[in-house]
Amino acid sequence: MTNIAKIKDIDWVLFMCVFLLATVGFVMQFSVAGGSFTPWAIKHGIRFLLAILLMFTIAIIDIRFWYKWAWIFFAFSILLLIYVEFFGHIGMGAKRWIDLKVFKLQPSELVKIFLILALAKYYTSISQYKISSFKSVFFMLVVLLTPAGLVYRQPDLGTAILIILGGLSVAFLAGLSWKWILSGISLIALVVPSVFSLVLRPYQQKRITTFLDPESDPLGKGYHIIQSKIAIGSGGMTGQGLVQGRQTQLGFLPENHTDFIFTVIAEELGFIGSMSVLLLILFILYKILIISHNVYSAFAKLVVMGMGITFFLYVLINIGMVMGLFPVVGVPLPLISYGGTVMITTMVGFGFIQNMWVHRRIENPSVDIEYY
Amino acid sequence: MQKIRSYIPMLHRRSFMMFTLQGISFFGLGARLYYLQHLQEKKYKTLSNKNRLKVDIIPPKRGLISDSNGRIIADTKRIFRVEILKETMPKFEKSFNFLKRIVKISPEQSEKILIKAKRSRPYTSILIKENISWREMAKLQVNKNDLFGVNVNLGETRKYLYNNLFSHVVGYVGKISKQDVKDQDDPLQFVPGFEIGKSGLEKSYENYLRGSAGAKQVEVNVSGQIINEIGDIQPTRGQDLEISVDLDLQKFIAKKLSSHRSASMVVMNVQNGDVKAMYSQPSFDANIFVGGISHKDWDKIRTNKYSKLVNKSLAGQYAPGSTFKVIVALTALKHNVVDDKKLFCSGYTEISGRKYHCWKKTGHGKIKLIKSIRESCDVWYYHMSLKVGIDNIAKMSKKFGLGIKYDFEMSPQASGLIPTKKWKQENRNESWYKGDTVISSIGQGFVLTTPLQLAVMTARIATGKEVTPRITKHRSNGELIQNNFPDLGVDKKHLDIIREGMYDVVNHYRGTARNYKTSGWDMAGKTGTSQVRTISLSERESEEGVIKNHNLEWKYRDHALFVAYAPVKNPKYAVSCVVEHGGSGSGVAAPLVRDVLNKLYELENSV
Repeated sequence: MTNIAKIKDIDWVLFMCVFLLATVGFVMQFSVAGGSFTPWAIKHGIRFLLAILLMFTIAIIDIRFWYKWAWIFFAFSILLLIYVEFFGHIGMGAKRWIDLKVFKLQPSELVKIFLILALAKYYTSISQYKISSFKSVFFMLVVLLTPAGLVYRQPDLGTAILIILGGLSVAFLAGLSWKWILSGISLIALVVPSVFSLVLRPYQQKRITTFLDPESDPLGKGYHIIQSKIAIGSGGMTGQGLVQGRQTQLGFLPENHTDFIFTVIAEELGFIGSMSVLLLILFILYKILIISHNVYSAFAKLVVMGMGITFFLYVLINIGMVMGLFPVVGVPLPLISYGGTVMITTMVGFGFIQNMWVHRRIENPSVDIEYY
Repeated sequence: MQKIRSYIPMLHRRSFMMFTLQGISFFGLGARLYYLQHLQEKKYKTLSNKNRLKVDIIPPKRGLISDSNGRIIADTKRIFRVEILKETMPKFEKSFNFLKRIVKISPEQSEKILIKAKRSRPYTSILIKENISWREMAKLQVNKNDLFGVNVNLGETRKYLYNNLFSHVVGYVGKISKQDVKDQDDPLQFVPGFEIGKSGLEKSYENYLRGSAGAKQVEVNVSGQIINEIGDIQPTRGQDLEISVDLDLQKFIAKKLSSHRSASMVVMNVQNGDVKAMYSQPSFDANIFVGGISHKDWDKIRTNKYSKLVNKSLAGQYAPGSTFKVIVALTALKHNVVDDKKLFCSGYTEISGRKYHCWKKTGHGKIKLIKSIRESCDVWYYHMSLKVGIDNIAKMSKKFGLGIKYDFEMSPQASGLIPTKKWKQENRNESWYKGDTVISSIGQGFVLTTPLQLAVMTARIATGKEVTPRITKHRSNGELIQNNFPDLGVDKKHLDIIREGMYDVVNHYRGTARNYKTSGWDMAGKTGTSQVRTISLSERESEEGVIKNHNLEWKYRDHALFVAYAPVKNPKYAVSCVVEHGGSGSGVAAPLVRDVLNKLYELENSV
């Protein structure tokens, strides 16, 4: 298939939904700035257009290439993680970035994507009967916890959790036995309390305690949650209208163009507006499910669902956080929040979904390209 | 790759389960939205209406710092800060230009403000200028009606009462920067222009001095202007810090050292480790950092030839010269190698075919231990050091606090360097030579110490205890805590011999510091003159001999050192003094220490 034919073949319905979501982001960035394209809306738009190019590029590269080099990409992203540990830029107190002059690369985001590719390759290259063997579960955990541990050290708890959940989901999809799943869940239930006191840093503990009782710290982190809930609630059914949100526009809510953008949607566009955004995202997840059903190879199915889950986890944790359902962990809302890194990760993820769709008829991506 | 037939259906089943899970989560999110936005709408609408209440953070008053007698050295003063709220200004550019005519703002500063105004979140105050003059204040009041959106707030800032007297010890505060905001949850970090400790005790005691934020609830109108103040939580002021340094003594030392280009002095109480004075010359005015230092001033101070910013007492590393001999003598005594009958100093000695010179060209003649300290004979130490070896000397040095960092309230602390065979192999990739031991024995070569370490060494010799320094006053229930230092584990007889030698340095008619006896109480000390250049054979043998210090360029002159303690019986204070490229220890450093100990005696007995 030529590259042009591949581009024609991508799932345009999914693409339009993604485009629509980013447009909502553009409009909200405009609104948050008090009805101004600067400083955020214009940049958000430009970033999205660049990210579309990246998405197409990833989509048309042969699936067998990605399959073949999946582990190499994963290893490379781990090396980058180790590199930031020693040479990374310090941003807001955490070492997370590599300065590429043009933009700042956050290797923890790369890891998230390549972990899914690597695990998908792993599970489709071993015998089905070995998926739940002790050896392969152990291997999966090592592959998962190595990057999660490095990211946690940065320290970036939110991303570490996303990496672990993303990886575990792929294992679940690949057919990990219920025995493992249930014993894993009960183990976590037992371990969580001790994790709280041993693993979490004091500021992370504080975030969780203020989550449980926001009133205990009304000037610090609890302030975010209280103000966010007020803003969402005061939006009512129809909202206060763009650029009209009182909480938003009076600057009661810090970070409202990044992590708390959904609050602005809820306040200014009301239940109808914010519910529409939720439904749009749910439709995207549905499209992803359908694509995974219609691609031929198990590898493609796992990658499509894996990328979809990463996207879903972002949305769930972010929206749950602004509504006071989860602690404030600093996870943005993909395509709507301001910020280059999450935009790129999300669009790379969609690039892989489109890639699997375009190459859906390839039944065995492990056979080298030359043999076709 | 080949899977049995049932694998793909299983994948589909699991995928569907996953999607169901996603659907349920979304249902949950939707339900929550419905709950907040529909069922609770009324409650939050009212809250939101009330939420014209904006919370403004009130910074606390920073704790004061005072000297050992409770005299304040770091105070706070009230200032007026001009802030703007861009959104409420009818025409931002025009108003800003008008404001610039009233309040003096440098072009550099003005540029920064414009960038900030563009980038900052809507409805946040932007700091225009701190510490405006009364004149500016009056003009602002007069033009109040044309300056919509400009607010003048009362604030507080640091004021150092003795401009450059405590700059290295107390340090200074400066505006909080992005790098300073590390895992902090303190809402104070959001206060524009908030000042935090950047060096010295201001930095190490930041949390102690800072206090905690208060908050003021204010009612704002639709355009964000404050129309009513509703209630507030008072900030908790920071705790005051008392340090052990004595203002009068510090003043005296600063004046004494001011005639030298680069020098430092440490005075320590040997009984409890209190640092009574710590001064580093040249110093700087700590006040220029408060409220932000200009690029010009910063470059000037940073590139100063004599390292103005460095606290030399703590971070300066110098070859200790002959002051180090007391350690070598103690090592020799411990290993029982002192054999007084055999040693003779003829002005030099030959070891492995190389000549090693004594500072006294004509030699000291027959030499015994006490005389070797008194007259600082180099040859005696060349021989003794070879008998005990460098590693034993290093062990003894560590015991007396050289080459190590202390658990001290300030940073950065240099560790100095006490070389060992292993150290040289690892760091220079060379094996240790006899010559290395020989020059180390007189505190040259690789050996480096800080003035604080030399003071600690002297205090440990004076007391035989493991004295460690401290600079803040430690109280429990208002009572000063006395330190009970553990015993060093050095033979008292050996220490007495060293003390006798150090007593003779000052009080014997042939001692190297015989011209500088103290009055009131007597002192024991040790001179040191450390070379910073190599004296060539041709120079040594030329007609004029070794070039005199005052004929050399400053940076090639010797460092002058002197360490001392007083009074000799029942010692109370230890002093160390380093004058960089000052010349000889006996000629330059000893008189300084004598004067300081005299002053200290005067201060102690004038009450």
